[in-house]
This record gives sequence, C-alpha cells and structure tokens, in this order.
Amino acid sequence: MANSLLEVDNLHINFISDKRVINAVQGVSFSVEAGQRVAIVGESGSGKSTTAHSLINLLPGTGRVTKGSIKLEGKQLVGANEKVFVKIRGKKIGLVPQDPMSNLNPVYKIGKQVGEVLDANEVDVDHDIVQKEVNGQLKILHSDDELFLGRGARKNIENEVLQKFLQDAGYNWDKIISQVDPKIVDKLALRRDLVNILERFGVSKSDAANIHNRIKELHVRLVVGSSIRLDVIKTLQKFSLSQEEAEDLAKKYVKGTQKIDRIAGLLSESGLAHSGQRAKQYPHEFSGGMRQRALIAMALAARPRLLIADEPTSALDVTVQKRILDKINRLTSILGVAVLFITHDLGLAAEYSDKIIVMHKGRIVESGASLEVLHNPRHPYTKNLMQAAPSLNASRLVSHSASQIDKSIQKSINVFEFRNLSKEFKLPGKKRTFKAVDNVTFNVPRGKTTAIVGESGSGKSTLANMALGLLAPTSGEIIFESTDMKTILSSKKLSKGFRQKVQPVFQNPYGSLDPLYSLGRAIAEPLQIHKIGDSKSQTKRVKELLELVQLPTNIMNRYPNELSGGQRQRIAIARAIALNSELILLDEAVSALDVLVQEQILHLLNNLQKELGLTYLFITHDLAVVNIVADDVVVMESGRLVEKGQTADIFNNPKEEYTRNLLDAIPGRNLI
Amino acid sequence: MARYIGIRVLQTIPVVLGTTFLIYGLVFLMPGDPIRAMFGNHPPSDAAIAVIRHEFRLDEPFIIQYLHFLYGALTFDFGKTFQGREVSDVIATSLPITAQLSFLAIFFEILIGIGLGILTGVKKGKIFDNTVLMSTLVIISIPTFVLGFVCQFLFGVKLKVVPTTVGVYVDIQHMLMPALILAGVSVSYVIRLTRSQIRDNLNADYVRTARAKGLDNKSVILKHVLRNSLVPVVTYIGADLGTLMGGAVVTEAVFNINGIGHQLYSAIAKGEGTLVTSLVTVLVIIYIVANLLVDILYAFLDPRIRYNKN
Repeated sequence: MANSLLEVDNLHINFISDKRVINAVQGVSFSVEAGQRVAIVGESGSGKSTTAHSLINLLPGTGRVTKGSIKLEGKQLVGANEKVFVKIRGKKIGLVPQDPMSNLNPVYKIGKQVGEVLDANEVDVDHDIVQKEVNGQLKILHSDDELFLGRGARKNIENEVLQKFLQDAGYNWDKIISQVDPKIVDKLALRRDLVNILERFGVSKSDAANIHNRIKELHVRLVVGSSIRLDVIKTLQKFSLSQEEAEDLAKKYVKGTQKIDRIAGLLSESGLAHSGQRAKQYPHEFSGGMRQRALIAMALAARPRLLIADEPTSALDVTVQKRILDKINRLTSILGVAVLFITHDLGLAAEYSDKIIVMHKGRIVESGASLEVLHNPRHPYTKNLMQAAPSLNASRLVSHSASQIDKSIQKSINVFEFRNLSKEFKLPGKKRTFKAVDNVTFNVPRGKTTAIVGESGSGKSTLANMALGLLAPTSGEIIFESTDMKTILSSKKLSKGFRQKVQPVFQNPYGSLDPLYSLGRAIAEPLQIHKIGDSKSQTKRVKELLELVQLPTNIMNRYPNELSGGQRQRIAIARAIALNSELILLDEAVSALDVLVQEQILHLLNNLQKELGLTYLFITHDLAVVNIVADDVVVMESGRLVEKGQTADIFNNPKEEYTRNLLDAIPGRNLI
Repeated sequence: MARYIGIRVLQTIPVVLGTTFLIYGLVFLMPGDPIRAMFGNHPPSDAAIAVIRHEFRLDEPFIIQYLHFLYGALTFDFGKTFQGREVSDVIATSLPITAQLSFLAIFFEILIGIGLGILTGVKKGKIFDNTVLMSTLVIISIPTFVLGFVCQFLFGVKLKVVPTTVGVYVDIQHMLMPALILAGVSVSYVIRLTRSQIRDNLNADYVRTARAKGLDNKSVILKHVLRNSLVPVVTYIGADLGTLMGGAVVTEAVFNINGIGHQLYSAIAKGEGTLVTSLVTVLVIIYIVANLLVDILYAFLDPRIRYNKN
C-alpha cells in the first residue's frame, strides 16, 4: 500500500521551563494524504501549533520531540539532523505563518524575499512542476507545456495578436507598421496611446478603441511568470485565435522565464495585483492582507507537497480572511498541495477542510470528516468549541430586560447621539484631505449594546476616538447625555465627569496594562486619579471589582505578565467599570482572544450589563460576535454609514450589498 | 534621499551658530584676564597690555568680538593664538593625530565589538559567553586613565612590547595601545549591544519564516539576523566617532598625544577664547557630519526610515 504523505504516530513534545517539564503534545497520531485538507482545531495551549511546527523542526525555545514518529513520504523525520530539515522546508513543506505583520523581514524588498525561496530550494524558474494524480498517487510530471511565460515573450505575443486583430478588421498591417516610428514598433501593443497611433495611420476610431481594449484584456490574462504555455494557448483561443495559431505563437515565444518574472508570477498567483511593481516594494508598504499574500507566495514558491497554514488569518479582517482562505484553497487544489490548517475556529475548519482533528491539552479528543464532526460532535470539548464559535452561533446572549435600569434618576434615553458627524484628515505633504468619517448619524441608547462594524479603514476607530473626546470632529455634533461634547470638553469639571462616565477597553490586553504596575494598582489607578475614597476603601473596591469580573482577589499583588490574555482583559474591564461608568467603549476588545476565552468574556460583559445597567459601544470587524452581544448594529464602510438597525433585522434581512458581503464572510455560516 | 541630506545639512547651520555663540560667551565670561595671566609674575605696563588687548580685539564688546570671529570663520580665518600661531595651523596639526587615534579606535570597535558580539549572540556556549560578558563588565568598570596607566606600565615598561607614549611618533605602532584603551569601553558596549540584538532577532518571527522557506543556518544568520541587528549598533558606533574625536582628552594626556583634546585642554586653561571656540566649532562640525553619516547609513539599512517623509 502506498504511504500517506504525512504520518504522525504517537507524537510527544516537551518544553522545559525552569527545570519543569511541560508536556505540550502527548501521543498525537494522525495522517495527511496527498492533496488532502486537514484542520487541527483547539484553543491556545492545546498543542496544535506545536504539533505543526515539529513537522519542520522549528519548535520554539526548549521544545523537543521526545517520542513518536513523523513520516513524510515514508521517511522518518524524528531524530533527523538539521540538514535533512533544511531540504524539506520550503521544498516539501511550506509554512504560512500566523501574523503577517511580523513574519516578513522589514529590511528586504518583497521580491527578494520570494526569490530567496527559489534560490534556497534551487527551483527551476523556467518550468512549473505540475503534479497529477495517477492511480491515487500524485506524480510529478514534466513536459514542454510547463514552461513559463516571460516578459519579452508576452510583448511579442501581444504585438502578433495586435497584427491579427488589425488584419481581421481589414487593415494592412505592413502599411501601418512602415509608418510607425521604428523605436516603438516592438512595444506597440503595450502603448497607452495605441488608439491615437492607430487612428493617425488610418484605423477608424471605433476599431482602434475596440482593438486596444481587447489587447488590454489579453495583457491582464497573460501573467508573466505564472501562465505556462498551455495557459497561454487557452487564453489566446479565447481571443478568437485558432488552436493552430495559438499553439504556433506559444511554441514560438513561451520559452521559459527569468527569476524576476517568476517572482512576479508567484505574487500574482497569490492574488497580488500589479505584482511586478509590488515586488519592488518593502513590507511596510503593504497592508496585512497583502503581506499574507506575499507569505503564501513564498510558502508555495518551491511547490511543496504540504502547506502548513498556521492560523493564517487570525490577525486579519473577516472579509480579508475569506479572500485569503479562498485563495489558499484554490491555489493548493490547482497545485495538488495538501493543507494542514491550524485554527481555533471550528467554523473556519469545517468550511476549509475535509478532515478535522480536535486537540485539547496536547491530546486529540476527536477527529473525523469535517461535516461529521460539525453536525455530530461526540466529545464534550468539541461541543464547547461549537458553542463558543461565534460564527456557528445564532442568537443574542440572554437578553436583559429594560426594567433592570435604574429609572429613579432622570437620565437621557440615549447616552450618545452622533449627528452628521464628519472627520477629515490632511494627507501628509498633499493639499487633499481624507474623510475618515463622513456624515454619520446614529444614537447609542442607554443600557443596550450598540455595535459599530466595519473593516480596517471603515472609520470605526476614528469614530471611537471622537466618542472618547480624543479627536475633535471636523463637523457635526456629539451629544453626550443631552450635553454637547464641545461644552463638556471646554469645561474642566464637565470633562472630568465625562472621563469618569465613559471608559475604554482596548483590543490588545498585553499592551494596555503597565507591566510595572501590580494588578491591584492598575485597577485602583482611576480611583486615585478621581480621588474617590481613601486607600482602604479603594482596596475594598478593587476586591469588589475583581469579584465582579470573576477573578480571585489574591491576584491583586501579581503583575500582568503572570496572566493569560483573557485574564488581562478581565482586569481591563475591571478598571473600566471602577468608576461606576455609564458607557464602556469596547474597541475590538475580544478580537485577540481564543474562541473559548472570547465566549467567557462576552458572557462576563453581558452579566455586567445586566447587573450594572451598563451601555456598551462595541467596535469590531467581526459580525459573528456582533450577533451574540449587540442589540443594535451600525455598519460602516470607508467612513460612511452603510446600514443601521436592530441586530436581528440586519442579520436576517440585510438591505445593502456591503452588509451581505460581511455576512457571507462569516465562516461556516452556510454549513449549519 | 538628496532632499533628505540637503535638509540635514541645512539643519547644521543653526546648530553651529548656537554652539559657537554659547562657547564664545562662556569663554568671555571666564574670570581673570588671559593676557595678564600669560605674563605670570612679570606683567608689562598697562599701556602694553592695552595694545595686546586691542590686537586680539579683547577691548571690544562681546557681540562685536563674536561677529568678528564668525566672519573670520566663514573665510577659514580663525585668527591667531596669543602666542601668535595661526589657529588654523593648530587645528591642521592636531586634527589628523586625533583622527588617526579615533579611527583606529573605531576600527577596534567594529572588529572586536561586532565580532565578539556576533559570536556570543549566535553560539550558545556558556563558558565563552560568560567570559566575554565578564570581561566587558570589568573594562566598563575601570576608569580610562587607570586602565591606561596600568597598560602603559605593564606592556610598555615591564614587558616592553609596545611604546609607552606617543609624543612625536604618530604611527600605527605607537597609536595601537592608546587606541585600544580609548576604544575599550565602547567595545564592551558594542559587544553587549550586538549580542542582545542578535539574540532578539534570532527569535523574531521573520527569522523563523526564513528557516521555513528552506534557508540554511548560514544564510539565515548572514542575511536576516545580522542586518537587522546591526541597525542600532551602527548608530552607536557612528555617534561614538563624534565623541571619540572630541573626548579623547584623558587618553591623549596619558599617552602624551598632541591631538585636539590636548589642545582644547590647554586652550581652556589659558583662557584663549578664539582657540577654544575654533576647536569646538571643528568638533561640532565633525559631530554633526558623523551623525549625518549615521542617519544616511541608518536609512540605507532600514527602508522604513528612508520613506518616512514626516
């Protein structure tokens, strides 16, 4: 019987910290067949990433495989030396890492970093490796048709096609070409002023425009360094060339490519537009999604047999997430690459893989076909994951009743009212301005949760900063509890009161706590600033707050580095409610957390809202979370308000295309 | 890039004006009459002193003196010392000596500092690592003049392997020990800085990605770890060049080197305003140029700085 592509058997991995042995992975066995997609699902600390990294011997720190076997194409990797792994990495197993922001070297151009893979693995840049399934096994084939299209070849092909188009339209090519400036003859098809040139030499305007458009279309389809001879033939046939003509052209010109073209081709494959120019840029000129595409190009550059995708999108927006995962899926199936997909989201795993392995505390608790696991989870931990996955969850957490809110004190119905709010920024060095927030109007009703949803660049964070009084709007009004924000901020007393009533909780629980402050001091700080009570009553209040956020009170004297992400976010919440605030602004407050922790924090927030009558302004890119916590939703795109309404209405009956796209991007939504 | 350098050069103008004005003012405010001090216990007649004072423009108001100095400096005429020597001549003889000393010291910083920094950063050998770290700590803790005298005594007087002092013999052989002593503290810092940078970068995500791409250890270290680690090291060494050029007073005194530091020290002692200001002006310009070079190198090493137009 043929070997599996990857066979992991009874794998044990240990870490040693302070002479203590941590068993990160304990007896894990699974296999990945050629071309198969397998997902490992679990929370942080489940050992899923550790397992993946052990396959290419890139365990961090003191991590060691202590027992078991890892076989790649039947060859034992446990105990193999570094040289063996250097040969496997890139060439046999590619890695798409988790955080695109930190995984590219900031000092080298993107193209150079892609090129390194080609050099290190001695990739033949002229030919693609096409793998075909023969009798249930992938075979690597080579033929002439796998030669890549080069830049010069594309130019020549386009010129010949131009000639054909003109002749088909009844013009005399030789006559035209004899009049054209000889310097531009061989670049004629690429010229922007092609229409003008053709018109000057007797081609009618409509014909010239038509021909130019078709040439431009062809130019886009012929991807230098990524289209092989066969693709070129197919493309040319679409442009009304006969099979014979197309084959002749392709055979004549497609003769392999140079490294620089191959790099552009790889980036283009991964979905990066204008890849030739992009290759000359540095990572800091790329967005997160673009960087991840570059990393995918690198991982697949040497045409590996297995791609490890280690939470490749957990740092990205939902819509970008969908595009990236779709791209990985399409590309790997074309190339016949197997995928080992590491994620904490069961919904994502189900949507993007054939087989799911659920890991918990270093052990596999359940595995099986994706839909089987999703529809019929057997292990309680899988059920927990299912419940926690916001994408798989349908409705709002227990809705609170309005009667809980203390009505004895006269208060405005809305905590915030935003009226025709706009914010413009001056672009550096230019006279133009950029509208980050554009004429936005909505209310934040008291005691409820209002969510602002949008991708990066939608203006939601700018809006949040204006609500916090940290940015002044260019035009429009912010009304906080019936008072204009301008009035509040111009009065020292009023603004102090405002700061007490509105508190933020930020995304990164690691960055928002001072590492030198004990947790007790971090929570007590707002009390001290606002001079509420003496140190004894403050300590009492800190204990109360810790109980409210369900942390043990003896945690007071410890420091942030001793806590997990979820615990830190609880501290941040405790600090935010310390002053009996009215409104908590949650800026992506759960986005950085694992699903299970995320669920706990969302429950905590919901309970606090019930007990304390808090109002939440919930800013997120994740519609799935919104569905669970929000009463009202405001959808934003490029600074404008796209749609607003009650959560259920927006989810069941979205009116705008953009909202529908956001909803479609929720993983696993269609699988339930 | 040209625009960036242009702006940086223009920025030096107010810096030079400000520092020369301050230094000139401070020397002017120094107590005592430098002319009388020059003659010691046998002062000439008041009339003679007045003539000398007039010759050096010491009888004019401060601002006139300063402007006159500035005008002279622009035409590379720094005036004369009280002994009648051209100031530009003093600079021309002492600057190359200090430059030789400083560049030799910088050479050691690069060679020993970065070299040992890389070795301790990459190798996990505990004994080697600890030995180097301990040595750097010892060197940092001992004042330069103590280290200078000890080495002078040990290698110069007892073992006779190197010359004891420099004096008029300005060559590599004589400069070797002073340059090593001068570089000592900086070498230690460069080792520690390089080592910690390399350790940090070895754990960086993009280094793991480089390994995952199939690069062997050598390429990973040379291409990905080293360049990123060197950015702060280069900044340190560049800034140090400026400091060494002006701050070698102690080393120059211990080894009897007639460099800028030595001249500056004696000019301050004699209250020679023009000479002090001229020397400081030269040092300020050297410092600014060194910093400019560092910034350009920095931009070369790290593209994120290059394009940051704000």
